Amino acid sequence: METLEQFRETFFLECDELLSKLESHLSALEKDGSNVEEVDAAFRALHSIKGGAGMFGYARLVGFAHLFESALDLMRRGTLSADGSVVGRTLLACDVLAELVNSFRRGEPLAPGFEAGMASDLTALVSEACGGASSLDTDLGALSREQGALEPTPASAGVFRIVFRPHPGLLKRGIDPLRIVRELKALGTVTVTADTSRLPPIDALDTSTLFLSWVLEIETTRSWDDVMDVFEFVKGSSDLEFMVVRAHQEAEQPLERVKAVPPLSDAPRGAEGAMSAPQQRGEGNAAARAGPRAKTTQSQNQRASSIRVELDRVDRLVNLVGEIAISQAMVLQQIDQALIDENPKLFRELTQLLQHTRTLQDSVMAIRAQPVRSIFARMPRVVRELEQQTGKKVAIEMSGQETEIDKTIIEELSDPLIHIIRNSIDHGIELPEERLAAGKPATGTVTLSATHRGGRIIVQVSDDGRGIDRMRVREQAVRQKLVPVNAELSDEEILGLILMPGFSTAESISDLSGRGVGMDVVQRNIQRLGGRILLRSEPGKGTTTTITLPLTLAVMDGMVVRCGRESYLLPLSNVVECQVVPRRDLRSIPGSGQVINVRGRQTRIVALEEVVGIETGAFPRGDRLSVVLVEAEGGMVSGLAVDEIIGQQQVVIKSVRENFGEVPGIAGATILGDGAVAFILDVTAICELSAHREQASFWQRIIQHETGARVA
Amino acid sequence: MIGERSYGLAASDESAGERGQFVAFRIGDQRYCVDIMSVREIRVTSTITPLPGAPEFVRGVINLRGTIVPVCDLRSRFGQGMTELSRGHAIVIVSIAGRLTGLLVDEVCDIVEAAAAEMAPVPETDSSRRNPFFNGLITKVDGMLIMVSLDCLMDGAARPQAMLAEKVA
Repeated sequence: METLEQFRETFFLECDELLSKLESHLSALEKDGSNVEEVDAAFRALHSIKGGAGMFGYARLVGFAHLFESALDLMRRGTLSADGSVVGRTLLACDVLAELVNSFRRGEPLAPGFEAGMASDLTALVSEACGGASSLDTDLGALSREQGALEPTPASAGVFRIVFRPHPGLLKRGIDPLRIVRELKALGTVTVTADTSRLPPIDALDTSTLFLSWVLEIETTRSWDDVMDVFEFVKGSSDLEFMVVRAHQEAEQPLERVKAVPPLSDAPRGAEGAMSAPQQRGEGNAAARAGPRAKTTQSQNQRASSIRVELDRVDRLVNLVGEIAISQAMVLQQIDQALIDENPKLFRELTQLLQHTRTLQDSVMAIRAQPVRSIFARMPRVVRELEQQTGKKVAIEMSGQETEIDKTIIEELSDPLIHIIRNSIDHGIELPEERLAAGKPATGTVTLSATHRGGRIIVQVSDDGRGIDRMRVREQAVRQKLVPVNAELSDEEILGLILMPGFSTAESISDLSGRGVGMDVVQRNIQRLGGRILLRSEPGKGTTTTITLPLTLAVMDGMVVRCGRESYLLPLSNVVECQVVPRRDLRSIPGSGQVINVRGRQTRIVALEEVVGIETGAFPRGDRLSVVLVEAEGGMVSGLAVDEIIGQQQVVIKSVRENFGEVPGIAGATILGDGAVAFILDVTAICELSAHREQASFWQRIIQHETGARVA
Repeated sequence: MIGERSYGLAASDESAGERGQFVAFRIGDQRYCVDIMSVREIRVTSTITPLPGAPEFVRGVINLRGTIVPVCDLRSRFGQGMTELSRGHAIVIVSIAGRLTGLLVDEVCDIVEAAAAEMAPVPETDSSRRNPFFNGLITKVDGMLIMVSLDCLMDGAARPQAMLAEKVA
């Protein structure tokens, strides 16, 4: 059944989200164990995973989640104090849970007993907290029993009546109403009355349509909320009426429990119940069943409603908006400027249209943007693991988690960040004794921050460790033959060596870093995203790694230049300045090409036409050269001589790789106002290519000259 | 025989009497054709932007409603010199292994149906130098069509490392 597959897919997608939520809430507990809201949020995330897993019959997952849930439940009631070791164990349990989820996703069961160790750990936690009295099994009813045992006075039971009238399509959504009844039974004594009045005669009976409805009466000591929770999954696909037949005494509830309930979640739910909840959402897609659930969890958290949309659809929208911008530019080119000048109304409307298009473009881009929180949340765990492995004491501080950045970039940012943090802890932060001796607090600090600056995102990782030993870096680079022995290197250049392929300073190759996959890989990954990486380090005080990234990979600000008949784009992030210089200022250095003097600095000039090689030109004609000064990765400034500097423009980035392949020197393409394609140049590659070429032809000439001389 | 390579869609189906449909086009005086299933659309020439460093038969790229599509000059690919662009030229957009490619041809003629009996392998000259771009011939009363094999048409078009450095020498 295809739809079931879709539900499953949705469930796993949700699991990803829920697992990361669970982890981030638990991590937050590490800092402040008394924060009940965090426990509560973690509990809800876990509960949703359990619920979904139950629906698909993943008994093993349910079993473990249930055990885990029991521990969290004790925590939120204050029976189990959320201290470091307890939280640590719950985080490990979170890992195990993620593994279990993944195993079901892949359809490859894990080895039996995979979760047994963790499960017994959790059981131990729970039974410790309960004074060793109760032992747990993993049956669905266990939680309720155990809770019942914990509540000091079994309160006088309340009686609720629920009229449960599922929509006929309920079965088609893979929901078994029997499950609801079973779950209710776990809460108390249930009397079920079925209404069969809508049943058609047997020959007209469609077994996939539900004609039944029920009146359920339950006598329970559990709260109103707990009873309504059972109906969480069917809320969107049934008419429900809740009635309190006899209220139980709320005062009998333990105090902690009351405190643990967040005010946000309680209010709307109570209201829903009272209004007999005739919910019916107009969701007809695959997410329909999971939809309402996801919404509830979300709104409990921040009360922001959201929908899940496939990335493909957003991308299509992004493309389309780009097309609109281009069509608009084409239309504008057709309109006579004089016509606009004569017609103030037309001018006004056009200006408005331009503004709307720009806003539209920004809004569409914003859909793809996500806060960096999702990856930042993984870092405390990385730090914790490293602490254990290195014996160092490290605290992590984070800021700017709400900074938004394009989804594709976010996904690619995680690995480089982990790598940098590992480096910081492995190489930067000293052992506690060393730190104390150096007059620093025993616990080192790694600071992770994200900010918006000038249309780019800046992500910084700093530590207060020993900093980078420049002498050692230098020696190592010489040993690895990355630089000549007598090279004169500036501070910056030495730090730049760390980013070179093959560089490693680790004296002992630890588990964590220094296995040859080094900062060069990080640098490459960041560059692929159109970003840059910069190291700053002060000996004895620490190191700061700064990553700057574009907001999105979909649009870019560029400088349009003309070269021959074609237009090209230079990414604005590479452009330093534009100049027009007299041709006679060009100086030629054998083997290094042409240079000009830019404010006292001899700067290499590359003729763009020669590099792109479309026409056989060299330097543009005329006695004045248009030069765009560009900065390549690594900070080298060169000048690109072009025929004409046209101006700045925001463009939609198109892939050349998709239908063709990688082209060195070309980062992508875009479509200009006239519908023609223009290539976006990879400035770093172009400068490198042209330098290689220059040198090669230089040596070739020398060799030719020498051999020629010998022959003669 | 041609060996393991099949010479056309219908023939590869191995059921006698199966007919194949092909889009026929002209380069110079010769008619060629490609399997209609791989053809996405046909465009009259739009502006082709030259692609720096690409081999001669890659004329550049075009904008196909927002997608960048490379254009292969079939005349040049078949070793008959460069096509001189005019308004009448057509670009046949085909899908090769999931990638879109434009084939620059002089003129698109029509859609040709061919029965298995009308299809034959290319007569062998030197087995070691068989033309990898052709996978058969269709003989009709009004002449012969060469069936173009798309598989390796764009092989070597994107040369990641070679490109700009190659011009050094």
